[in-house]
Amino acid sequence: MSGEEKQLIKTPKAGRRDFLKGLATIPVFGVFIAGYLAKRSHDRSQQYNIFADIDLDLEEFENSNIGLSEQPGDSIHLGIIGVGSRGKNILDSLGFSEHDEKDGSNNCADLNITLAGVCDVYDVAAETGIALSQFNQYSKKSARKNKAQRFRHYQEMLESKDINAVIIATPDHWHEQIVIDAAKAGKHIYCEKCLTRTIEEAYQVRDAIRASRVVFQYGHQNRQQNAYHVARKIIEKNVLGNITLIKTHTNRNTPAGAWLRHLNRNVNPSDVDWQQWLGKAPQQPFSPSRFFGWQKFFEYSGGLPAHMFSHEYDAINQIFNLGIPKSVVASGGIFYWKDDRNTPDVFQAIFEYPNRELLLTYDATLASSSTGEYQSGAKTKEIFGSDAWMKLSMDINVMADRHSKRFKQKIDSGMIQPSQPFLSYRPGLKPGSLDAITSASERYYASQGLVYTYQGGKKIDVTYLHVKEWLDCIRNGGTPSCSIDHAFEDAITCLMATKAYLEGRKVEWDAVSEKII
Amino acid sequence: MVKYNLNSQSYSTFQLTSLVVLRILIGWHFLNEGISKLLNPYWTSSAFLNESQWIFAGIFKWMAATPAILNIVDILNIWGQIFIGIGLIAGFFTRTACLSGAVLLFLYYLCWPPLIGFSYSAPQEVNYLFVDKNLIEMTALVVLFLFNSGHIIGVDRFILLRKQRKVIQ
Repeated sequence: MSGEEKQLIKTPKAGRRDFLKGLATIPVFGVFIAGYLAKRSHDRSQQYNIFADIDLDLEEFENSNIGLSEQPGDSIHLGIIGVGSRGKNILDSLGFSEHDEKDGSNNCADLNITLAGVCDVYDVAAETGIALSQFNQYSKKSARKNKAQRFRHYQEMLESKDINAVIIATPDHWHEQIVIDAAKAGKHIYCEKCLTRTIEEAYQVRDAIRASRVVFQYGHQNRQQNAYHVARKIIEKNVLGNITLIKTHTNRNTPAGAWLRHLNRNVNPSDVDWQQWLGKAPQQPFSPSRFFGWQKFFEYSGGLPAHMFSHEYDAINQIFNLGIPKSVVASGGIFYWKDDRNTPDVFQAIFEYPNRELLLTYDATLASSSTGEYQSGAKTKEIFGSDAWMKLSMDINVMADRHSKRFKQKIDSGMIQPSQPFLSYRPGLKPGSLDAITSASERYYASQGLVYTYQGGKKIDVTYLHVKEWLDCIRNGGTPSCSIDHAFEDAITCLMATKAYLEGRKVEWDAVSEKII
Repeated sequence: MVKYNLNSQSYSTFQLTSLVVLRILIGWHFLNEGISKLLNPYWTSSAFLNESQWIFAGIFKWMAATPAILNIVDILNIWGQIFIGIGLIAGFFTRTACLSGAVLLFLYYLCWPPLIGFSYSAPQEVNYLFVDKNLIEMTALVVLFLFNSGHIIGVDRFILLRKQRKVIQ
């Protein structure tokens, strides 16, 4: 600015005009605040906080089970029997992985375990297990270059002093013998479902575990699912009213989902110890269809109830403590997958609990992935009460019944809309992130939660937690959450459905004598 | 004679009014978004970030999956929106508010670009093709940045007066 210009300019002193122009837009804040408060007051009049009503604090669930402390003491030496798809999945969950990094791995601590032994009748599977044993992504000591020993028969593994505990992920027809022998050998046991192939075997296994001092964990990893713990709490608080009907489903529509797992796989019969694999099962020439898809055959498994309903049953059993039903009827057939299978691909069963005054139903198809009216994905359970119903999967949504007496006033006043969830729980958002509010403005956030699958924050593998719980009990004593008693209830219930289907009759359970009638 | 040089641009009354009204409306939008998020204890940007698509999806999803980063993103978002809203309405550090708002909106645009074949689960009332409301609002902020009005109608007027007084002294 030149000296000449300076002279032309009057001293810029803020005058009245400047003051008005400078603050001209400030009153907008007053309008904003007044508008915001009016909107908030309107929304509040439309809000209903169910949690305050039922005195429920769910924050504790967000942090439960996620113990990330490193495990002290000596490393537990594990042996795995069966490294098929599920066996490999378990190893992967425990950090024995070919991948350097796994989603959610930052939430997992070193379990202080060594995969010391691998047993499989299939050379390729055994070699995979051995390869995986050499690197554990959760272990800081992974550089110690462990290499699992291969055992060709599980009994050799049980005789080994180097093995403390075994994971059993074989086909079901082998579970009974291996569990009993492992218990006798004093090896701690993590056994995949279904516990046994037949009802009779379930008694033998229970007796063997009870007679031993080993720690037994049954492989229902969803015992660690937060949503189920929260669902149990909500139901204990009687939010749903009188519960008389629980529906569970399986809906699959892929060849792999229907256990056609031999397709596109070249297996050299000389790589498989077929006779050992068959065990006590009827003689049969080597069949890749049976070897990889044993779930399709009653000779090796209990079919759909044992494989798929087992998950649903354990979810419901851990919430309701239902135990074994009084009776089961079942129906089904092989209607779609016209291959060599003898287990049904469409199946329905009804489980009666007269002492609890409720029915548990299961419907399954391997020829449609639609879940019908409730398009919220597979494994959604519906729990119907006289005041509200719950849609339960990894999330929880509770909708009021339009004719509910308890919620009548709130429905009439518009605070609850029966078509909208008035209580939602979505694990993993933020600690205590619970949406129990119904109002027009908040519903948007709720709807977002319903459609998203949350992948960040505290996501953690449930199988990792389930095995960790077993390892904790081995180290410190105690009984894991899915004990032999739960496993027994699961096996009997599922196999009662199989028996009802095979015998075409209503199968009943005598709780006093613990016998099937 | 120039009374004092508040402006290298000079606007007609209608031009100035339009610019200020547009500034207030965008400011209102930002302030309401920020305050609503601040007062909603359940709000987090994770769901938005997680559904990101296109070439930057990896970065946005990484933010959502890293709790510490997510927390920072949430705080920056909430307070960024509030301060940008206040700045635009009051005409306080107007050009900084315009630029920051435009950057924020551009990030939202990159996170959920309305490209062919991309769909998102949050409710969208219209169909977008390349151009969405974020892009329009961002461009409006660029215009407001270039055609500044905060130093004429806004608190920036006092700042400018103070600066000029210093120059003269």
